[in-house]
Amino acid sequence: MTPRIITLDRVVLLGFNFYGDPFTQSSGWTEENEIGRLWQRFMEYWEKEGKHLPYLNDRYWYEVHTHTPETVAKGFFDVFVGVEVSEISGVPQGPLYRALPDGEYAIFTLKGSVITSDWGYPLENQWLPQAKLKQSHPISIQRYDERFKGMDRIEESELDILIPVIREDA
Amino acid sequence: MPDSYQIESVSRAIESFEACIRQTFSVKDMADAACYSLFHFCRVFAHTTGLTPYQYMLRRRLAKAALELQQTEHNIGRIAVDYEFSSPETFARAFKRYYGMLPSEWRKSPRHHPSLLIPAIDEQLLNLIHKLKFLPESGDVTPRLWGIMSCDDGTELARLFSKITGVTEDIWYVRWYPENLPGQIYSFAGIAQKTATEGLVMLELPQGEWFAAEADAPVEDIERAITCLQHVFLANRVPISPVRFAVSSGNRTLISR
Repeated sequence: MTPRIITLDRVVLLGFNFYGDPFTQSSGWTEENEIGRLWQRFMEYWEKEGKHLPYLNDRYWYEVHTHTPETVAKGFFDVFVGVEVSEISGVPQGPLYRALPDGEYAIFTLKGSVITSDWGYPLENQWLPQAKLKQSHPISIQRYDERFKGMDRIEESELDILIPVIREDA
Repeated sequence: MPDSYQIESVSRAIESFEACIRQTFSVKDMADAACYSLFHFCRVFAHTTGLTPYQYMLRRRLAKAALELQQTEHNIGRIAVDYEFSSPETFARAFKRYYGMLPSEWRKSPRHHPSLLIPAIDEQLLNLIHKLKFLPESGDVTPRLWGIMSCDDGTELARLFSKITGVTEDIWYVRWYPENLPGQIYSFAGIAQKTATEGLVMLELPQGEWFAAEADAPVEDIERAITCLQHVFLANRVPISPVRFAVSSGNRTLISR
């Protein structure tokens, strides 16, 4: 799969974070795991408060996975879900701010059932090397927009995966 | 239910971990062995085994360490380091949380039943676990059986019982692990009846909670699968207890817990 390359500059998100093992209670896509709960927490906040704030931009919804030596050793996950803010306005009560690294990102667009398949393995082992790209920061981002129709309409859906990259020859 | 490819991949990952159980080995290393991304692997592993990969690694290392405490005089600190615990304190805390006692107390206690230690999971065991059909618990455990008994795993007992009595159907086969004699197995083959038969001994099964499962597999394999399931389903809630009785009749097996 060939990616598009974009540059992100000063993207700051507002949302919620989970750190730990998300699959201790449930491992299914449709069941409640901790990442699903995290989205629920965010959606509750969004409905009550977030959507009324003028500086929140809901064109994209982000799920950011950060990898550290501990997450790799223990199979834990550091996951942040949220939306972009156009300005940092005060200290929020409840949600957190999270800045994305500036720089170039490769965008891989997943379509249909590929979204729920193990795209992470070919992405790391085939798609990035074939595009002569290396990951520049240990994060991967799932960016949702109006093309994602929901898990019950996955065949009609599209999802963008963003990976911060540098060119192999750089 | 996981498909055969998932079972095979997870088994391959477990095999790679088991070969390196005393070395630094990450969940990512297991995922690589299964040819999955870390995220997908964690989901598939939990779906296939009922444990997260890290829980499995931790429980297996504790089981191996527990066995070593029992069988050797190695220093506890050395055992902790050998099984990749960052310090003896970390090891002692994890050990106590799982077995309900400190490593030093475990070592001083009399021999422990093998079913307290989670077995290594392999492809055969995973296939069996997913084939087991669980039946409502305890309802129809027949409490009083008459038959013959031996002081071993009773391989030939059911056949011998048939030869002596002429009974060929509805034979109950029991393996019994006395609480006060850890490591000892008694076997029994007999039938359920209320009245005595001359020459046969009576075995009264305890009332209480039972796992009841149906599968076309030898009772030893079912015991191993259920021991494994005990470590999956019960161990997050209470310190695990040993299997005391395993009873089978036809494809049906009951295990006390």
